[in-house]
Amino acid sequence: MRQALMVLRKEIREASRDRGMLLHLVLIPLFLYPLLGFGAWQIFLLIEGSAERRPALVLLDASLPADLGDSLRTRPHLRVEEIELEAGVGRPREESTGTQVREGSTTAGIEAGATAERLPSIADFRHLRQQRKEDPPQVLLAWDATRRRYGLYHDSSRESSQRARAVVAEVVRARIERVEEERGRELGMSGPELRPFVIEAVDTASPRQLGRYLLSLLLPVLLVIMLPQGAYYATLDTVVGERERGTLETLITSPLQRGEIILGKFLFVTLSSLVSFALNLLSLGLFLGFVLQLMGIGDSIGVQPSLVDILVILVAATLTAAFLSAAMMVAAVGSRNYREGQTALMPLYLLPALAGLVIATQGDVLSPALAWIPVVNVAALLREVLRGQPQPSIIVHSLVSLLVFTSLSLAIAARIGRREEILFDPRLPLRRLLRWGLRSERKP
Amino acid sequence: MNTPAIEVHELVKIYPDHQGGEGVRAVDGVSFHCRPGEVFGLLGLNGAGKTTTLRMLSTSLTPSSGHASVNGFDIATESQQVRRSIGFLSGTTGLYHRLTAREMVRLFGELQGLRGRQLDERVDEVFSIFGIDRYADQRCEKLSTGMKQKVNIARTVVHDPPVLILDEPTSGLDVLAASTTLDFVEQARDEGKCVLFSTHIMSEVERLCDRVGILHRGRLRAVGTPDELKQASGERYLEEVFKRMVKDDPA
Repeated sequence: MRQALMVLRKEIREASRDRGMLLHLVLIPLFLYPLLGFGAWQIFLLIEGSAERRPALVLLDASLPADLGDSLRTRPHLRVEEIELEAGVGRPREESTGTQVREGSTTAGIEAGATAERLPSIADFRHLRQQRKEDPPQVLLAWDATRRRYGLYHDSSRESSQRARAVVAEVVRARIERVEEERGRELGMSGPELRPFVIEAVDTASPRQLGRYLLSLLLPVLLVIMLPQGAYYATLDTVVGERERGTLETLITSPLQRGEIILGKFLFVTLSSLVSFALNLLSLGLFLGFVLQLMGIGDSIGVQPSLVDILVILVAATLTAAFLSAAMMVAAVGSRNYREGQTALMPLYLLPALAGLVIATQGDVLSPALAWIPVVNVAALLREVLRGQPQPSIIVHSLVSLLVFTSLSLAIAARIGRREEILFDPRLPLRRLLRWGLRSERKP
Repeated sequence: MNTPAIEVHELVKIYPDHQGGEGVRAVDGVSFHCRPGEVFGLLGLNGAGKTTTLRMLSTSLTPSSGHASVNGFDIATESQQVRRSIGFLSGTTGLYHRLTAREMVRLFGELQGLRGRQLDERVDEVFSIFGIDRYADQRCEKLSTGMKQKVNIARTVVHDPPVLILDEPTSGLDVLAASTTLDFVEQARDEGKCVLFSTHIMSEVERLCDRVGILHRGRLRAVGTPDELKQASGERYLEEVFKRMVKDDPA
């Protein structure tokens, strides 16, 4: 073990001086979220900025009450113009209309309403936009006096139209409520008489439960993406790089046993994978905390994991990193150069991430059978533990599975690594590597 | 006469083909010995079996049959003790470019079992012997070819091994770097080490080797001192002896 630790120390020292390794193992995991967040914020500002430069045009049916137009004019980033709809639009059509808001109570509206459609059609709104190509209206608010309906027309494929629609709808709703209250007062109604039924949604989740739910969504995905990333670059450097740089023969002519070399390198790959994951987790935690505070909901979501959560995450991450490292070493040990190494490792880099993403987005799927599939089981297990639904038997199956597959992969890597052909044979087909790894043969 | 530090008896190495059958018989029944304080040169063309023989003696490769011992340890059953007894240097034993010269030599000293003050003193000593003190804290990737070779030699002898196995150690080196290596071999012999040395450069053999084995197509064709070989063949130069042996066996 002491000799294996010497190999590990050598690998760490070398890795700490390699820019590529530092980039992939430290900088990317650490700065990924702040950079993504900054990028997203800049795009948001850009969109907001362009929207602010040109206020959205809202066309208002001239037959609507003047106070509605006045309210809309007080809102920022809107330009309000009145339009006579009788001449061009507003005639009866068979096409359906856009968003409709009724004024007054539904019963009153139907009782008062006529049978004919009096709102503009979708084609009418499109025609209006076409007519004013240079400065197209983002929203049209029309009024059907017969059926006492508002027609709120917008184009959901445009950001500015969506934003303007939201503002106009808010103003209209406020007016409807005001009118309802005025009518109620005229009829001597107030409070429960005016609004006899009220639905009050009550969220019973504590901030800590919300935080654990958030972690259960993020952590499995993070685990299956970041652990393979750390293991991938470390395996390429320490296994394939050693062979390509011609230092493997230097190492094997020292008193080290081949098994000690494999073990030292395995420890390095596992450690790299965990460091990459831990830095990514730290970065995500800080970034999430910052964003939640910025949104003003920092206190309502407790993302600080408990000691048990940390323990579960640590065990799951360590076992997964160990399995991925051993599996990647098996795949890479026969590669003669970086190109071959990348080809051999890529499936192991992508598959866990894809499988984990699928599992993380599905419902409760961790069955006893699935618990035996490495990586996938950890993603699902982590989610269930964080959501407080762990099944002890499945946890045991998952952990035993990881231990078994890790030991198996490591044994195969050691068997292949002991072969002298690894050093000197220019052709090492995968079939031969697997035969060496799986068959019991005399140690060369 | 001293006990041989290297004894090789009927050593055979067969590389299997890709179907697992007998492919190439790279070394075919080679026997020789080498004593402490002696430089034994293995002379042969490319593909003669020199490198395979040396790799078997350094335990990187396993013999198909035959046996050999290094410093009294069997290469098949006591491989770790063999590796503790040798310093192995070849054109393919590279340096870790991201480590400094000192870190490189220290690492191999530690792997050979040196610790603490003993390790520090020995590292300082070999750096002083090879005149590389000034470059000790530079990364290996920044050193000149000659300096790299000196660091590699320092790495080879940091544990003061009784046996040195050198596989074409001057291959690809410029005149100065090659000269450094040859000086080192002479110095090692003077210190009583057993040096097994492979090359296909006749001038190196004439300068260094006490005895020579001419290897061709995996078989040892002749063994003796350069003078004995010249006398036996009636040739004036070792190069002519070598050419005759190779031509006599065109198969």
